[in-house]
Amino acid sequence: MECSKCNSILNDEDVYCPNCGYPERADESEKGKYEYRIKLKKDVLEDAEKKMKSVKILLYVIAGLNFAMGLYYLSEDLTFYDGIGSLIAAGIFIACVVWVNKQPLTGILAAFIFWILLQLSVVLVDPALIFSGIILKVVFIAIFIKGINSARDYQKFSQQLKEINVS
Amino acid sequence: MSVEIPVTVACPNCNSIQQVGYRFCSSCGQRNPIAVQKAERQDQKYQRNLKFLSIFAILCLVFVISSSFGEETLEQEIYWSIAFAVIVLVFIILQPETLRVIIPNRSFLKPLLVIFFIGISSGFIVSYLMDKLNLLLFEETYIYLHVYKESKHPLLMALIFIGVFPAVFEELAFRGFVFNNLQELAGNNSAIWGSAFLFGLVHLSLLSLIWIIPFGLLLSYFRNKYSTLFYGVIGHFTHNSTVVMIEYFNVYNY
Repeated sequence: MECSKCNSILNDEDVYCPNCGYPERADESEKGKYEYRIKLKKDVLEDAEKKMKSVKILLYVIAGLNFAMGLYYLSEDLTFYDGIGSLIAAGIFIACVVWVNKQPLTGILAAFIFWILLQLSVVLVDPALIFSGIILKVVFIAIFIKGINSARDYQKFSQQLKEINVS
Repeated sequence: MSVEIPVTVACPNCNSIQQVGYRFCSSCGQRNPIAVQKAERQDQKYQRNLKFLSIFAILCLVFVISSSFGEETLEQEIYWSIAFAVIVLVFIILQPETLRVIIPNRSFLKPLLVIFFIGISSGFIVSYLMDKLNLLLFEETYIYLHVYKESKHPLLMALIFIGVFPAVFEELAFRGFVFNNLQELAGNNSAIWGSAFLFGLVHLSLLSLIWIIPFGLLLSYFRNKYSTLFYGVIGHFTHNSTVVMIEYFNVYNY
C-alpha cells in the first residue's frame, strides 16, 4: 500500500512510513505527534518567510532614503557625484530585493555588506558620522542578521517539507 | 574476492531490520541516527562557511576604506598590496582547500586564448569608456600611473603591483575563497553572482561598478565552468596590464 501522506510504497509489516515517518498503522496519539512535528516545521518556515520579508521592506526603505538623498543633492547641486552615487546605491538596493527573491541567503548577505560599506565609508568624510543615527543602525543590523539566519531555516525546512511531500 | 555491500541495517532503538539510508524506522518511527548526524555535520559546516565568509567580507571592507586614507605614494601602494596579500594568505591557511582549484585539469588552450582575448579587449574598452565618463562627470581623468613615476622602472613596477599582485591575490580571494564558501552555502549561481558583487564593492567606486561587476561575473563564470582559478588569473592580469600599457604608451593621447 501507499503512505497516505507522501505516497511512497509501504511494506505490509511497516507501522511507520520509512520515508516521512507518518504512523500509518499506529494509534491516534502517534498521528497527533506526527502532525505536531509537521506543524512545528511549518511554523519555523512561516517565521523565516516573515523575517525575510522584513529584510525586503528594509531594503525598500534604504533605497527610498538613498533616492531622496540623491534627488536632494542633485537639486542643491552640492556635488554632482554625491547625487549620482546615492541614486546608484538606491538602484543597487532595489536590485538586491530581486536578488533576495531568487537567492535568499546571497541576496541578503550582498545587501548587508553593501550597506555596511556605505556606513563605513562616511569615515572618509568625518569619523564622527559613523555614530549618527546609531539606534536606527542597530535596528537595521538586527533585521539583516535575523534575515541571514532565517535564510538558512527557509532553505532547510522548505527542502525537508518538500522531501516528505508536505506542502 | 568480492565484498558484500550490506543493504539492511538494524534500528538502534528497536533492533528491527531496515533498508540502508532509511529516514524513519518502519516499526518504531525513530529517525535514522546516521541521517541525523549527517544533518548536524552539514549544519556545522554551514555555520563555519558563513562565519569565514562574513569575517572575510567585513575585513575586506575595513581594508579598502583604511587603504584609501593613505597618501598616494609608491611606498603606500606597495604596503597595501602586501597587506592584502597577507590577509588572503591567512584565510587560505585557515581554509587550504582554496588552493585545490589553482591548476586546470582539462582543455587548456581554447579557454586560455578566449580569456586572453577578452582581457585585452576589455582593457581597451574600459580604459576608453572610463576616461570619457570621468571627463564627463568630474572634468578630469584618473591616472593610475603617476605614483610609479618616482621609481626607476615605472612600467615594471606598475605591471607588478597593478598587473600581477591583484591578478593573483584578488583571484585567490574572490574566485577562490569567497566563491568556494558561497558555493558550499548556496550553490553555483549564488557563488557566481555573490563573488562578482563583493569583487565590485572592494574597488570602492560606485561608478566603476558598471564594468567591474560584469567583469567579475565573467571571471566567476570561467571559475565555475572550468573549476579552476587559472583562467581568472590570466584574464585579470591581461586586463590590468592592458590598462597599464595603454596609459604608459599614452595610446589615447590624454
